[in-house]
Amino acid sequence: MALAGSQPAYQEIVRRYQRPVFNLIARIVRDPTLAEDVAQEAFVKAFRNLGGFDTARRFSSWIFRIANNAALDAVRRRHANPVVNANVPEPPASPVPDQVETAALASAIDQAISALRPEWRAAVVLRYEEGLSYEEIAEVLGIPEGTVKTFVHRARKQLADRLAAAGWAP
Amino acid sequence: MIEWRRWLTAERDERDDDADAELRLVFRSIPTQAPRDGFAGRVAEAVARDSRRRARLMRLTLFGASAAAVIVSVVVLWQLPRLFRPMFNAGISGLVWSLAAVDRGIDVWTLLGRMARVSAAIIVTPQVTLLLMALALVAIAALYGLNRVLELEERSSS
Repeated sequence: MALAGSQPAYQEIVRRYQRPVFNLIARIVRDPTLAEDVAQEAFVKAFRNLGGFDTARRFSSWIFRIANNAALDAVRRRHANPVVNANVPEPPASPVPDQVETAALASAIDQAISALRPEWRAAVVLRYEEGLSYEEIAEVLGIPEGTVKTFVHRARKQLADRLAAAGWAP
Repeated sequence: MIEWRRWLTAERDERDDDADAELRLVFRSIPTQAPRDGFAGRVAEAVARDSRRRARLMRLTLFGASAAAVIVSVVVLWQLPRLFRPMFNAGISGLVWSLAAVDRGIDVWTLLGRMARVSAAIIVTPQVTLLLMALALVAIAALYGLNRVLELEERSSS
């Protein structure tokens, strides 16, 4: 029904994909307010283009692709340098409760991700937060699978280096 | 306990597959970012606004296409009588010339070439060119209008 243009049915799709789509966009644009505007814009654009969606493909890949393009456009529009030299916070002194460590780690990873190139950020989020395969990520980003593997590998190394440099040593 | 140490150890030891799997576990342990409450509702409002705006735009487009089609049709109908006599004369002359040419034993290629030259000469006159362009515009406007109407029908029937 949503694919036929039914707005109530589409709202269900929005409810289902709002978190992963918002998360991807927020990781790329690095601004929650802007991320919400961009996510809304992406969902409106997706609704407008539902007629062109190929049902042989995965809907998630299609919506992620629209979200990724919208986020990259927003980064370009903002004329900001997308690569940030963020300071990764140090790990808390041990021993600490799990929640404290989780919060610190989340913040450290968030900062480390912000220092990645926007294309790498998308690849990392899709791979590790959304659990997409390399093939699916290639479909979303519109690049060859080999390039995705390179992006993910380099991004992962850079994340590890940044965390290690901030004191998150094994 | 979050196993970020296992990930960093795998990275340090260059065990790619392990590092890949461990980082996935690390990400699973940290919260993802979510939009504010009521996001789906705000999207629904934006979608409805966008649909209304597009419907307005489509109505304007249809109105413009219809107006253009009417104007061009009027121009065409106005020009047709003026063009009818010279085209009729040219047709009769061409027929007479063709019959005479066949009697004189002119080959079919020369005949076709002559007909093509005469047709081209008629087409390149400003009036005929304008007429043909006007007809093409009417056809394009009609096709575009029809396409938009069909899209609207498809949307409203679902």
